Amino acid sequence: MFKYILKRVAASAVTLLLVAAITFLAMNAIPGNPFLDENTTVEQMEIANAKYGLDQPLLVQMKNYLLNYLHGDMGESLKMQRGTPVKDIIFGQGKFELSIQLGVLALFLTVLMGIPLGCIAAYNRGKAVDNFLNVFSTVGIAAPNFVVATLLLTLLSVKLGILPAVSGSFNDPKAIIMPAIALSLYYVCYVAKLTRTSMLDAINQDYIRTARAKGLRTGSLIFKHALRNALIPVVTYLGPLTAGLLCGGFVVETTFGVPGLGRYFVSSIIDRDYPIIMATTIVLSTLIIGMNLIVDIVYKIVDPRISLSGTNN
Amino acid sequence: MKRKALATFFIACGCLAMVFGGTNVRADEEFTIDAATGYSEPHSMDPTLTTGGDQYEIIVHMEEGLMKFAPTTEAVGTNPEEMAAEIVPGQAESYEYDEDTLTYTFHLRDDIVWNDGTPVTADQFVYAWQRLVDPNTASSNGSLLNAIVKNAAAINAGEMDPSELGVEAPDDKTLVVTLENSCAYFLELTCSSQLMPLRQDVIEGNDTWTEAGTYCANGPYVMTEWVHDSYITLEKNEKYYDYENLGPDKITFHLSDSQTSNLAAYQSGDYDFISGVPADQIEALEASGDLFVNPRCNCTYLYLNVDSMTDWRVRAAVLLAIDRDNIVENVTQDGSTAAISLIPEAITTSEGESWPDAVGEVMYSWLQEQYPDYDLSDYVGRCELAQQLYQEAVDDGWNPDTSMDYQYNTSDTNKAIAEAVQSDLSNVLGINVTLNNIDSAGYTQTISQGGFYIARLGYGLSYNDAIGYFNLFGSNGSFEYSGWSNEKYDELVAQAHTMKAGTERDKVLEEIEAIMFTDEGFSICPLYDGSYTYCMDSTLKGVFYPAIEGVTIFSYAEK
Repeated sequence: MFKYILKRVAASAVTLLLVAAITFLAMNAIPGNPFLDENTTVEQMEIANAKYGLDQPLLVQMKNYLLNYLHGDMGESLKMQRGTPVKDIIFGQGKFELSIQLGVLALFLTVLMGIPLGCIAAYNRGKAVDNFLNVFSTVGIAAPNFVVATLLLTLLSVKLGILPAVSGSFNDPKAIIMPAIALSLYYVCYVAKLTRTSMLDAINQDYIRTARAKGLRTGSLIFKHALRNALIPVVTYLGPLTAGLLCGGFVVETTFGVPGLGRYFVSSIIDRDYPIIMATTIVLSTLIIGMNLIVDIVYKIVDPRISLSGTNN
Repeated sequence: MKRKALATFFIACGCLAMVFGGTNVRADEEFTIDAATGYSEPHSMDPTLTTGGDQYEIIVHMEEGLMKFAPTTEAVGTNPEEMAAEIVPGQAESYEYDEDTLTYTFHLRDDIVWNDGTPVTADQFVYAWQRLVDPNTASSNGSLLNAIVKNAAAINAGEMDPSELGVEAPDDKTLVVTLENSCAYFLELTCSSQLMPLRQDVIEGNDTWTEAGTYCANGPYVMTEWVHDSYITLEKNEKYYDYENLGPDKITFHLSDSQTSNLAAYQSGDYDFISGVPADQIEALEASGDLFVNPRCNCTYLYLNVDSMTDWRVRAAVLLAIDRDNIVENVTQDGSTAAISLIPEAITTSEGESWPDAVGEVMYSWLQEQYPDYDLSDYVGRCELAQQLYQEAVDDGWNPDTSMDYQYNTSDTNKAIAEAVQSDLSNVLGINVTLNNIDSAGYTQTISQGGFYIARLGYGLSYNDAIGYFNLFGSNGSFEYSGWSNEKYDELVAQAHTMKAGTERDKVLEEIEAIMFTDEGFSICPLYDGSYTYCMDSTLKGVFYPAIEGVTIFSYAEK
């Protein structure tokens, strides 16, 4: 187990390096420049490029980036509050924590709603409950989250006035409710569908039939025996989902005015703010890679058939 | 057992909520204004580096230039409670200029200090102006003073030291500016954020000086808090010379570009002012009396590339065939007005008359003279002439199967406008137009390389002088992307630069614009003039709006 984890961590480091290198080359391949806007001449842009080292060969710039990152230096922003350390922009004023709070709550909602709904649908297969949940989750998956967000705003904030329209930094504990629902609805529905499918698969297995024949109660049958196997595809999905929820709230953060990290994934690219593009990508990749590692370990716990070392099956 | 686990979980959730949450303290007695300018986090609050009206809106509450905007008693736009603005002395108590208007001498007020108590001195202006033109500052407004203040262009090009700039401080309270050309709008320029004084001792060596705490104010308000991506709070500056007359105790600018949530916050009473509302809500809000429209100094136009559309009649046909009323009524739907001239309504002649009102439908006047049989004041008549001109061009060898590309920078509005133009050109002239969108960051770089047929651009001016638009085009134009040049145009632009404001100069400016819409021109096709839509709490009074900057100023608001 320990050896396996070590191996995986080493592989992860290489992946991260590749991600950084590819991002660097890709962001330099798109046309545009942080110093170019409607009023700038090309000469002015070149002077600025020289000042901030953007005139050096790409490979030299890339080497500098990677070396700086190894020293924990994420560089300085070129556009957003120019000159401010990227670390302050991304982690300053609790930005990262806000995104984490929102993501964690959305993740809770996803797991606590999605999995039971999937189980209920599977157990009541073909009945009215199943049909209702099927329609609900299809709509939930199809509705883009800005639509969900707008509906929630209109209903809960403008019409009923029970929740604040602008969530801000969640100073008001109620403020996190709408963003969390808007962020998680899609995932709740997706996980419900996923759970239902794999649950149906599991319910029809021989060992469940045997257990049922032995007279086990339905509850214990579903939650103790079937669910454990049914969860494998769900757990696989939860890894990337977690990373996505933690950093992927661009639309939700913008709509509800949450000053989180999510918006920087999009705005930094629009601004061509290279150091922030690098930083957000690396933070997100680290999260995804880390989550995948955790998922692989959770597999071992959920499903004893999977062996981590691959030698003993 | 399971129930217990569930209960434990909910308790844990509760604890989390308590840990994450806090309490909301609100003092009721204060007069506060919550405003959303419709923009997200400003790229910079450094007055030298600002790029847009959203930043100016906040900065103008905190910083003051030699001249400043003050409310008049005349209403602006559709709201009788919002006042127009005029330019009055700000940090300068008085000024004088020589006969040729080439040397300005400003005398600063005696009672001006920064919020930390340091006096405002003339050399702080010198520092700010030199910093602006210094190419190392890499300000996108670095060329603002080119051809105006002595040596600015050479310094900005890196050929001269910033200390050679034509601005001096003979003593703490006197500022002398030497101009290269008599600049009709020079006093207005001194209101812009780039020419406000700066503290060298605060800025040098501190890249994060624009944060609350170190941000110095010499204007009416001072920044007390800036939660990035969320809001900026300003409070009254006790050291300001007009402190006694200031309005709100606290102004909070909410930094969100989500029009939906800004509107929701306005409707639920959290915000007193929002600018920019979703297009589909405009009608309902206008009916309920919440929405107001102000003119804004911005013109959206198309470049008709003279290298691709070599026949002027093809370009004129394109200009005539576009239904501008349809665009403003059904596409933008935000109170923008159909262009009849390149120069928007917010620009005035030297006598204060709105430019389009003074010069009339300059886009069509030459054509009307040449083709008196068509009624060009009407879209149907314009379409008939467009078809006639296009047919003439085809008869002279223009290939009617030519497919034209239309370049625009990615945005929903730009796309919808492009589609409207596409359909007009197809219906009226049978031209096949292909749409091509380009990411904003690389847009001007791409179209500056030419090779297109049609490309859109919008341009806002921050001083009230039509010449700002004429500077964009022609051989020396900073934005001449259609490949057009005209000797007479260049000459007249150069001449207007050296003239003093007055009716004589207005005539020259009119002549310049007329050239653009003759058989020697039609490289620019104006579409519409922008607008500024906002909702404001009906109890707010005393708010004013300098149309030229397109910002709302709350410093003297009352409730």
